[in-house]
Amino acid sequence: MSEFIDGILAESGLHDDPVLRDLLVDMEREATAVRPMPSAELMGLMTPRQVRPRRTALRRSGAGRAAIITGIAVVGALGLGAGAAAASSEARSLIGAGVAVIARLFEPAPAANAPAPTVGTTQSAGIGGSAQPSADATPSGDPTPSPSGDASGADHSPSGKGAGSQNAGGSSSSSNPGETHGNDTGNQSGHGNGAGKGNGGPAPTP
Amino acid sequence: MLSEPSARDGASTDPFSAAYRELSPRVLGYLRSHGVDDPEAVTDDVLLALYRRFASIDGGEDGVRTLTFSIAHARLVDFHRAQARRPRHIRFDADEDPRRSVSAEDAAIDVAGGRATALLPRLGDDQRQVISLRVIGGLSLEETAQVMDRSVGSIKQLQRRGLECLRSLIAREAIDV
Repeated sequence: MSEFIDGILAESGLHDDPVLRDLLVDMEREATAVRPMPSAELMGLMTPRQVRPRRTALRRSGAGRAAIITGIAVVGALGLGAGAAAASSEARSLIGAGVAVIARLFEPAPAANAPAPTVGTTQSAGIGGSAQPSADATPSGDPTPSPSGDASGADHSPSGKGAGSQNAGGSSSSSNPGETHGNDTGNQSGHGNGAGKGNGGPAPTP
Repeated sequence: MLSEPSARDGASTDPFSAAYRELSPRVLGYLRSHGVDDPEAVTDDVLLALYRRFASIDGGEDGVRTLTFSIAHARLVDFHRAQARRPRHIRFDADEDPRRSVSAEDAAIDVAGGRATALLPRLGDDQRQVISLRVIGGLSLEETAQVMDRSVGSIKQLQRRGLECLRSLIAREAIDV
């Protein structure tokens, strides 16, 4: 510091005054002898190492917050995409086709000796045999004729229901008793119950 | 002038702590030599203000020192303005009165190195500012001119007059003794 004081004196042309030089040296020494105690606030600012872990924690929490925000953004985008896809009819049909393909993959394979379902497989086994077609009857199924010649009452209508009932024989209410209606099948139930109630005989003549 | 702190001292090695250790005694001495009421509190305030601007300081150690004493000088000006607006009423203490004549004992103690700073209040305001900023604050001519917002030439002039005044005071006290 004395060199610094010498410089000050030299700047003012007083470098040859040792008393003044000593006074200035003492002045500097006295004035800077007391080091003030920092306040608690300043002390906290001057110990940043205690703050560092907190900064790290803040950084971590910031990263976690960023991850959460990114996740929410992704989920939101997916939701918007799903909504747009649901609103599109083409997308719906594509999704339906895809679902059908997937469902077919998981469908169990049919047994090799299993009887193939046919229309009217429940043939009338006699009176009271139910000729009600199964639910999987196909309209193109060819009804098997009854060996007894009885009217099986097989319904040829796709719906399996008869178009109406035809009364034959004695039960006929026709004004011409000897006239047969249609065929000899007697009473044909249009409901396809194949009961074979008709006896196939000619209508009694009076 | 800002010395690097030593880790062996157990002291903090961050730049602000080093600046605090180096500058806080000088700021306190500067404020005390100008009669600030609570120089420790104002020193703390100055260094808190320095901390807030510490990261944006250009010019290295010289920049830190100049900014520190610029803040201290501004606080000092504020203090004197507040004093002028609202004078304080304090008890008179003859020992604190700068107009009193120095006793032979006091003069002997002063010249012997006991109370050199007690001569500063006998200078004019501007001369005292320049001498204290240069000797106590350790600022250069240019830095002092920047702090006081004056030209280097005017600072040099004030410094020379202040030093001559001090020399005459020493000579007078030596004669009185």
